[in-house]
Amino acid sequence: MVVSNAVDKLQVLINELEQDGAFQSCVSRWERIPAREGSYAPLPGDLNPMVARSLVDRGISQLYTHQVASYEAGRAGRHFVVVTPTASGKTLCYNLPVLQSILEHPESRALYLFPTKALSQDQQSELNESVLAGDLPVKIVTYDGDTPASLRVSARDTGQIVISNPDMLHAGVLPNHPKWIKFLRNLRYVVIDEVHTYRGIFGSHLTNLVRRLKRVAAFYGSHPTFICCSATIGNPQELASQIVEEEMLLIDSNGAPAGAKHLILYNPPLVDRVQGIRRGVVNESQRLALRFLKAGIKTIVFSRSRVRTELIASYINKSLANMYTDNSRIRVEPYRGGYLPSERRAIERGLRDGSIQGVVSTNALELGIDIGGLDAAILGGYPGSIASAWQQAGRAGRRNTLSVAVVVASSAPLDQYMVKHPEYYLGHPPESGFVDPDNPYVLTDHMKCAVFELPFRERNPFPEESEAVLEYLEESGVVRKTGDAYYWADRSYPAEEISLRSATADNVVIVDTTGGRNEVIGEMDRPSAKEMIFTNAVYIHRGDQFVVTNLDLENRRCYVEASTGGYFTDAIVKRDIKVLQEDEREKRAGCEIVVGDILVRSQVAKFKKLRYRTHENIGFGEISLPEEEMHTRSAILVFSPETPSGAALESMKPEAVGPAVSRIGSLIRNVAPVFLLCDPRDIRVAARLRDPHFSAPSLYVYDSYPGGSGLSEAFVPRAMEILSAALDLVQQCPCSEGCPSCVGPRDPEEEVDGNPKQAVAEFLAGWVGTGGA
Amino acid sequence: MGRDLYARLKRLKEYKHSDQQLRELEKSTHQELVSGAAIHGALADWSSVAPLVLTRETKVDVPGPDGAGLESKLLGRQIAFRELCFMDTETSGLSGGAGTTVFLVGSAHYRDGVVTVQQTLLGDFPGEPAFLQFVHDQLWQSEIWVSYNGKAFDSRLIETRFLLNGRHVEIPEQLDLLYWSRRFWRRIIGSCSLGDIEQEILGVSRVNDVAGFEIPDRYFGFLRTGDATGLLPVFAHHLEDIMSLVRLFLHLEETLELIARSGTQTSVLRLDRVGLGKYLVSRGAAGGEELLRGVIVGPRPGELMDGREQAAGALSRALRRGGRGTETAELWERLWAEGSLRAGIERAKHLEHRAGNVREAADIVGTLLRRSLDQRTRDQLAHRLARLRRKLGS
Repeated sequence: MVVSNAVDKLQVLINELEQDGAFQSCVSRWERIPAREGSYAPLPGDLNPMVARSLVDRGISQLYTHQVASYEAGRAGRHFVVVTPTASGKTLCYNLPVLQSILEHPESRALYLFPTKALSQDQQSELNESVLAGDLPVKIVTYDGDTPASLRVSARDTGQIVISNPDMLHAGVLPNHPKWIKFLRNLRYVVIDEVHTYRGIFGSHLTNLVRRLKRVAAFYGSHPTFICCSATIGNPQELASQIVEEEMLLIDSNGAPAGAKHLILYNPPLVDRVQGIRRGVVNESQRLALRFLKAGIKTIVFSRSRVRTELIASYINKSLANMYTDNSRIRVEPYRGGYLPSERRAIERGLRDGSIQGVVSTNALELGIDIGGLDAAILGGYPGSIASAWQQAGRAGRRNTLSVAVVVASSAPLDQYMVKHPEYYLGHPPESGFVDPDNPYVLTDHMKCAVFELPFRERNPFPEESEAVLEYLEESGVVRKTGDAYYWADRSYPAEEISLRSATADNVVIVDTTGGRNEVIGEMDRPSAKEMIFTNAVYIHRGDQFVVTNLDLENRRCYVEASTGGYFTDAIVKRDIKVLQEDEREKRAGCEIVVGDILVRSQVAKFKKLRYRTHENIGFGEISLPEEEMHTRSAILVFSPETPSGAALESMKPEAVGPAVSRIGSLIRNVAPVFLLCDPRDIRVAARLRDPHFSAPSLYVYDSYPGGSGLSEAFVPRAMEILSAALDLVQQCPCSEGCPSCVGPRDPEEEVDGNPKQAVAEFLAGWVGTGGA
Repeated sequence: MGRDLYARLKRLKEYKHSDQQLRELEKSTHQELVSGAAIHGALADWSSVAPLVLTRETKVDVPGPDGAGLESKLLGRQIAFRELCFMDTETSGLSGGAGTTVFLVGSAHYRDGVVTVQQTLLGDFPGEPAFLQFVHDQLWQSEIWVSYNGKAFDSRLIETRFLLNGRHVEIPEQLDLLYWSRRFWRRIIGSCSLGDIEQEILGVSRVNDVAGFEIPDRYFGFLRTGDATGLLPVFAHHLEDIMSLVRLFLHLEETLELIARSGTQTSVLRLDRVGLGKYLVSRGAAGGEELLRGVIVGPRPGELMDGREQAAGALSRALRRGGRGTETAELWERLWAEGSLRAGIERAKHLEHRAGNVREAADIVGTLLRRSLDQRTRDQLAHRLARLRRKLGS
């Protein structure tokens, strides 16, 4: 039988896998998701003939029902959020109403916001231009940090659709709104794509950014309609309406058809039954990917880190090159942040036009970058959240064809839990997103920007709290109240000092100096650079191996040379927390709670050399780099002996104390975001059994934004509620020894006796249950 | 809730509290400014023209031509002095943006060796509409503004302030002397701030001049206390800037006049040969070509590759305009021999399109691509190389 078609090839391989005893023995769940019929509607009758023709020319003679619903909502000026799984025709949901309105009123303007700075928006603009506006008289421009100064004026004045990102809106557009008068006066639509990414502190920033945008737009007399697109999350409508602060219509009945899908949860085979060691996720993902690729199936592999991405891709390519058969036609590329934009564009293009058959990526490709249809997705490790797992798995699958996704578990406790309890992944709804736009830190930052943008006379659309913030800002001298308004009265440009993201923006540039060259090949943020491209590190870039000759942090340069060593490097990072200042200390919620400034230090002092393929450790090296420091705010729960929490610990069996203290952190991390309306990534928790500062077991809950984000302060008054909820959760959780939803899955490496879940439950019950408040 | 938040915010430590003492003095004098009543102390020589709008006029002697006008080389036509308004502003911030206010505007007129400067001060934010109205009455009387970096900064900010007060204004024709200064002196003195030009070119040095970055805080201090003592050095600085502007204008006119009359004896004039050569060539004036050629083939110490490339560019354009395009190749060849990137590109263009030597063009581009390049140049070169290889292949 000649298997020519990709679908048939996949079907053949799936049949093979079903018969493959060795493969089957690793499968903990094989879920077959049936195909779904599409639900269609004709092109709207009032659709501009040019748009209609352009659609028909591209083979689109009818729309999905959710696209029509979006069109109608947008045309009626209703704010709406549309839930858009992969391959559901998302761009038409917002492009149709926007293009229609611009063609009717050419002076109309629209703003498209995409979440990532570098990755998606320039590609999106390419896409929008080529897909839709190619033959329509509509000017689409990208306006971001990379837009050359010479193009900015014309972009502002003539762009009818401006594609940008929150950071640019925050620091570039709004503070200079008089330059945007033409645009803002006619702003009809604001599209916020990937709205599910705006959770927690980042989402709180976005809400305030939207407030500022609305306020400035209203100054010029416009009141735009907001259109949000979201991946499948627990609460898209709620999240979108919190961000836009308008009533949002929810469009979530997906009319796009989907091919049948096989979802396989896979636990690599044991290589050492006695010690329970399994084959590593890198090698196993690579083996599976090879099997798919050699069968002629377009495959994406997701990996959990940049190094793993490079390793998997290079193993695949080496294996392909070693084959006797004609595998040289199969091209597989790694893809991650840190590549030059032109390199990324080339890979994306290659995937779309079919010249690249496989890609190994970090979560960089999880977001809505168009890479065309893929047939297989291999998740090299569980990505940490149900929503991400579905998004990555969704990267495989076209509208009408069969697809497969394999989740390969690593040895991490979380992965092992997932693969052993498939119902957790398959049965739980994806996570919900929360924001707290009135978080005082975030609100204060944006109030400064807002006053800078326009004197404050009326607080709308800012909340009641903004008045107290203004009084505070007046007292600190940056705004001035005079007459009936607050004016900006400081020489600084506030947006410049306020970052919407926790990561620092200063990147280290990687320079290839092989044989006298002097060529920039990539870049990396500074904290990662210390851990990945220290002097003597092996750096892999698109499969080419380099060794770092010098990491010059001061000048943000990393010099590398081509190398051929048989190993890669992995830094050993030590973290440590130091209390800088105690601002408050009180007995509360059955323990002592200290609020203050802490310094979180990460130091890379050593690295391991690991042999390719086997990953065996073949030596160590020294690293001499300054520590990476983050100064932030923390709420520290100190279990002093005289408090109920301390007493509870003392009454426990000594061997249970360790697990109880170390695991309570996971529990709080699971519970606190719901109360603090943040994202789990916004807070970190560290437990210390013997804390040198407090001389008692302590739990640090701290903000993951440098300088703090207000969450630690917000934690304190709610500590009792959070702890009670934690106790409820652990008592009611149906698991037996801990799971990701409560205290975290059992970790054999912890080497503790007894059941961590039971230990934590006992500890909490003895403390909170006794009415510790 | 409001008070609670307020208390919490007060505990946040990230904000510097400004000088407590300054705030103690608050408002008493300020009320008088609003009512336009007693103006005393530091503002004794200012008069109130509207609530929160103050102005003063100063006359300063500046040696210069007599008469009603001159044949302007900068503008390329006969002008009357009354057409010109020398203008400069002081602002509440240095980065621009909607929150930066213009608080001091100066406009000056020259006549018979005397400069009359009008300075207008915004007493507090609510006075801005009246302030702008008064400024409008002053500045829009003249057809041409003469400024230093006014195109990019002052006039933009003024336009913004009008806009934010609901008024659209057209900015008049503007003669921005920064461009002229850069053209003639950037390669000689480096930075072309007005202060550098004063010192290096006009031979003026200031005593006790206030640093630019201090100015916003001095203004905010005045707003808080109503005491304008801290602004006195700012008024002096602003006045000095405007005087320099007038002097620079006269100096440039005189220099260009001298060149027109006596040619390119630049050693006396201290002008950059590239800038002067480009200026002359663009006017088709004599001597320009020789100057540029001199820079290309016989650079003097301090004349760097960047300037020589520019000279070659300008001379090439002039030669092509004059139908002598064939002479350009040797200029670039000369610089390419010394390793110039731009010359390499020009040389490759020449070889590809005119000499028909695709192979050598490809070699040059290949050599260039091994250098450290910015992304845009790299992309363009890669594109060029791909095209050359296609040609070679076919």
